[in-house]
Amino acid sequence: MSYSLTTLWFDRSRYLPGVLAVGFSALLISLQFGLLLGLFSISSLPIDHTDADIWVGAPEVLAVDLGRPIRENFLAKVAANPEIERCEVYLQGFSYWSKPDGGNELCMVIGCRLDKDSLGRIRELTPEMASRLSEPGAIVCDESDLDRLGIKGVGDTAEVAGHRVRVVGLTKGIRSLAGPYVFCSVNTAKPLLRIFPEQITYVLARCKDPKDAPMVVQRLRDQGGVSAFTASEFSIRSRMHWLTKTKAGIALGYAALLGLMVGAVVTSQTLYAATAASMKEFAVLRAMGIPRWRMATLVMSQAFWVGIIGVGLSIPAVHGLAALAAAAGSEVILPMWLQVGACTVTMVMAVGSGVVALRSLRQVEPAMLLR
Amino acid sequence: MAMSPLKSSLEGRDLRRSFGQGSMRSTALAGVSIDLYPGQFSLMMGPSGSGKSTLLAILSGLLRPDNGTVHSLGQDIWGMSERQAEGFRLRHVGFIFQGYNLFGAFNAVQQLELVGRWGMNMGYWEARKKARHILDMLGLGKKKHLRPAEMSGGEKQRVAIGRALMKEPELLFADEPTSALDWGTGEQVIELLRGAARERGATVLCVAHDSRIIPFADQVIHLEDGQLKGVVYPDGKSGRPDREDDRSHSSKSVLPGGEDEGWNKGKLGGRLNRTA
Repeated sequence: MSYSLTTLWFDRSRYLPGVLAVGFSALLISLQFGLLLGLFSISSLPIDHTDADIWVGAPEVLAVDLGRPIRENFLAKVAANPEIERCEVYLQGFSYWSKPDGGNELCMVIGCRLDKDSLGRIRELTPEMASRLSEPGAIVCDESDLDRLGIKGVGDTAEVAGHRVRVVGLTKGIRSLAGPYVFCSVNTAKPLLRIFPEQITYVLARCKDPKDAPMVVQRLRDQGGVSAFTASEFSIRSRMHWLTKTKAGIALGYAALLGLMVGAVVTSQTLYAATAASMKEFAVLRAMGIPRWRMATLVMSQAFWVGIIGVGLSIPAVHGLAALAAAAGSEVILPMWLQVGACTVTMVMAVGSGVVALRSLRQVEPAMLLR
Repeated sequence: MAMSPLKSSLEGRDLRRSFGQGSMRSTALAGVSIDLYPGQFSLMMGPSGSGKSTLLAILSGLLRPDNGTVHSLGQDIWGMSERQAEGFRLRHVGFIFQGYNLFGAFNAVQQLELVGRWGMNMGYWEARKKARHILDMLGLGKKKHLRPAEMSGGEKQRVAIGRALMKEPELLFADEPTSALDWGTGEQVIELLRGAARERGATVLCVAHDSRIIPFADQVIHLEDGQLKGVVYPDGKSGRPDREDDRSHSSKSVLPGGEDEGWNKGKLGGRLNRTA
């Protein structure tokens, strides 16, 4: 075992605060970003849960839920591209839900084609639900939103934008951000969104070869008059918009920075105190001419292992807490890049703390050993 | 002028050192000259505040004198740059201090092995082998895997000696190595230091308070108020430099029971007779 690991294990109670501080920092960064990613993934849910390769909307659309009406004849323009296999209309926008016993609630109406190959129908809508949605005024919402919408379940009625709607089915696990999702047919959606009959919100398209999507998107952009995105682009754009628009990203950045700073202070103080406690031992080595960099390497190696152990402890803790959050209804998304990023940032913090602790070695003076 | 049969390995000349400034300034050394010889165990004694540790620090290259020179193994150590001095200490100097200053986390082998690997760029197995060998020689064969907390004071000091011997230094400095030990254990430690001089030809300088160590020494240097009060050669014969210039500038030889008031008169004479 290396000298640094031997010291760490022997003096584990002394190093424990540093290890925990590193672990806590990694945990904080991963969970905060994971929670936020989970939260804002809701905003791109209509993109992520459907099969379109390309989304075409009004110019400079900021996020999928902020689409503005465009003319329906854009459908033909998109369809004219030879790479396109299928394209269809799609409506999405905010409206007002009037609860049966009074009171209004903002809701997000989504109107799409309902057939088997539909590009805009989320996967959670079963064929039975799709079939029932073809009736005028039929809607499907998520069971988690029943209270918010003031209804009890299938068969209940309410009003959206003054139009009577009837619940014909309930999805599971489709969470919403600003307002509950209300799924319906294109024909039902138009009056609920108060848009003209010849207007739609998006044109969705699928390419014969999905690899052609970026090329078609670029061509549509070049033609002007619309904004076009590949599905993944639009998904990221939607999430990033809400992340930046709500300033949640900045708040999170500060919180993560604060966590890192606390971690850095505790870790550097732990390492500093541990090094200071061995000052006389180091002084003997200095007296014997052993260069300072050897001791600095030991301190840096200790910082490295404190980082590795702290980060190592944080990984199962992050996944455990993410599972707990999921059980409580908050999704925590932990992509590999986030986990690697959090571990890297925390390791840099730990090693940086080691550099700060090195100043204790400057006080090592062999003459201090002589009385 | 008679030539010396023994060439000194360490020469300090007119060493002066003060601490503090202005009215707080105190003189720790007021012009001390001294010679040490290879293969000899030299003992430096004197009351508290007499400048013993300061002189040891200056002679060993740890503390820069205000004035004077130190030639160690023929090199002017205070004429060197800090890096050169560090390199010199690395190659030639070992230290033993009153506080054993052993790393709490490491066992006896690791304490020595560390010096081999960090100080002499030895490989792991080479350093380990040498550390074990030295510990065996120091009678710590069965204590090799104990940490400092599991050892007695004497054992810890022997490990500290082993650490100093790991580099096979030509100059070995010990600052009150027996102060925290009972006499029986301290005697063993002194024997080890004397052995380092006799068997390895090292120049050993030991600062101590305990007059019972005197009979073990080849020369006893007595300091008082920052000045050299005398150098005694307990065996009266061997290793005594007879160069005229040595006598004239480095010391006046004072034998026990002689004119020096501050020297342990009758008591010391008895001790010396033991080894004579």
